[in-house]
Amino acid sequence: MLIELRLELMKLLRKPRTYLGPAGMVLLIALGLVAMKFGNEFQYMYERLARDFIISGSFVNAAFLARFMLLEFVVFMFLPLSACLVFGDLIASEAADGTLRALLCRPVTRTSVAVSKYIVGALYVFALTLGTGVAAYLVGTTFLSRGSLLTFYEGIWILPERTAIVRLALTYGLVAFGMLAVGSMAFAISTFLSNSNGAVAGAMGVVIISGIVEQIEYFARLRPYLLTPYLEVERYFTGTLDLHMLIKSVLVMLAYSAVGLIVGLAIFRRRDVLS
Amino acid sequence: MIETTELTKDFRGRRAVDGLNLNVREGDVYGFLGPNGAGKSTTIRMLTGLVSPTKGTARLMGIDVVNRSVDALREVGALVETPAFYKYLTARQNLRLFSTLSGGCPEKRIDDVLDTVGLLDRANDKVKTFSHGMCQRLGIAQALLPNPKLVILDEPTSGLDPQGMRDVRELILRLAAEEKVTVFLSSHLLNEVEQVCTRVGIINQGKLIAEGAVEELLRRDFDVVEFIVDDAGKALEVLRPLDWVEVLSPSPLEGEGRGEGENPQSAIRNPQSKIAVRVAGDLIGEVNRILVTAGIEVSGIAPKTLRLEDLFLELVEEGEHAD
Repeated sequence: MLIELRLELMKLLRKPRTYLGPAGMVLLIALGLVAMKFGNEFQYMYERLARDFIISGSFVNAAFLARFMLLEFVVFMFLPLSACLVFGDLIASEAADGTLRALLCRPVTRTSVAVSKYIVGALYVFALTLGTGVAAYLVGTTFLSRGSLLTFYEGIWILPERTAIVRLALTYGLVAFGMLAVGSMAFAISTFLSNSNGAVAGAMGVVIISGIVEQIEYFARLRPYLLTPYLEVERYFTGTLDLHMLIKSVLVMLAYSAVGLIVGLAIFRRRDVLS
Repeated sequence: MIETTELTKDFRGRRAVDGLNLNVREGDVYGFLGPNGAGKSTTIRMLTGLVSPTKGTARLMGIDVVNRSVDALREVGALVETPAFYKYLTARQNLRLFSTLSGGCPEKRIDDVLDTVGLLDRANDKVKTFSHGMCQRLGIAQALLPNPKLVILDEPTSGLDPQGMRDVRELILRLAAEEKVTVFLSSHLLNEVEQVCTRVGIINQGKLIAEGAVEELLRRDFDVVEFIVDDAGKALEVLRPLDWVEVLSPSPLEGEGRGEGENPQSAIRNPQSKIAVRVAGDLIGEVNRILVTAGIEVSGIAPKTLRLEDLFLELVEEGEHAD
């Protein structure tokens, strides 16, 4: 199993597609930084707040940039897409290229091949998600400043720097579990397809449909079973941390991940490799 | 080395392999033949654990492939259909990766197999720069990498130039002779199979229709003999009533006699034409005597050697007629 894991990791690191996600995140962080430093929007926000509050220093700082990178577009589109690209690629693209055939002719169990691929995918999404948070914070520290985090969720909250870092770490952790859940769906779909695009489209479809269904009142009863409500991170940047919700959200993500892994394994173990 | 018992595979109601009983012995260079869609690839995929049989068993070196695939494949090298590699890795990296999955091998072994297939000088080039023929060679190299006791090669010379084909043939013969490797090889190239294989199995419509040593299969109680006569029409009239002679004229074995525009009628009109008959070996002289007695000039008698291609076509056609 360790051998397969090492090989999968090596393949992942040498595959150009692997670097699309990190490259995109670097670009987004850079854009966020430029917008914060030179954009009018944050200046306008500052002026609005200054009318009612005495603001000492700048709220546009490292914690703010790291929090900014958790905006909806990133959490619900960019990171899931990156996760799906990698997880969807793990089996489906190898099936399409024929390398799966070459791999499974060797004295290896299908379970060890699939699990090692899954672990590598999990490592990737955790590294990408947590790396984004760390990179955003470090870039903010370098080019902006450090300090308290100003957030807006059912009011205005100012979290001391240390609290902000803890909240950011917890939230990025939750998002990482969320990406594992999304990736696991792509993984499950990829086990019966010979095309990674199908796996990406399928898993992203689940995320998008979940996001839409969540908004429709008629389907309110389905909300506890959907993925996206548990990825709403704003609630963790208020005065008190909703630890119960955070743990529940992580458990839901883990449940989604476990289902994706189990379904994927079940299909992969029985699948006839015909490509 | 390979033993299948009633090996069967259905795909959505269509039977691709039907109760196959193969027996490949240690030291064999076994040619697995069959027309397109006969079930060769499906069989090879079942032997290598890629496809699960609907029923029946497949054993490699006595070990069940379905239930103990890891043990069964431990000393097997396989090239299944078109060789596939990680294009973003070099030839050496690809081989290292595959060897690791088989328990690893020294770097020297990688060099050796690359040298064997003539790719040592391209070892550090990415596979995406390789031609189809080079990928095919690399595929053979990866099959040989784990020092296997059994090599399963699916169309190993596909995409190779004539020199490459000859190299592969020589390699197979060398593997069998020097390293005592058992080779199971599927190919469309019957001439190639005839040159390298000691035993063959012929599959058609999922069923094994013949299996045995090449020499045995080609040995016949009756020989096909060509008589060059001055009056083919008269010769046919003389021979047809004889129940111990089967007249085949014009010879189905005669490639050049079946050229464009040539047919039995034209052969009969030709004063110097060949007629082919199937007759017991000790009665060839008797046929000659009858022809000469009937006033037909016989200017040549040529026994035709049955080739694997003829046998293959004969068996496949027989199978189709039986349906």
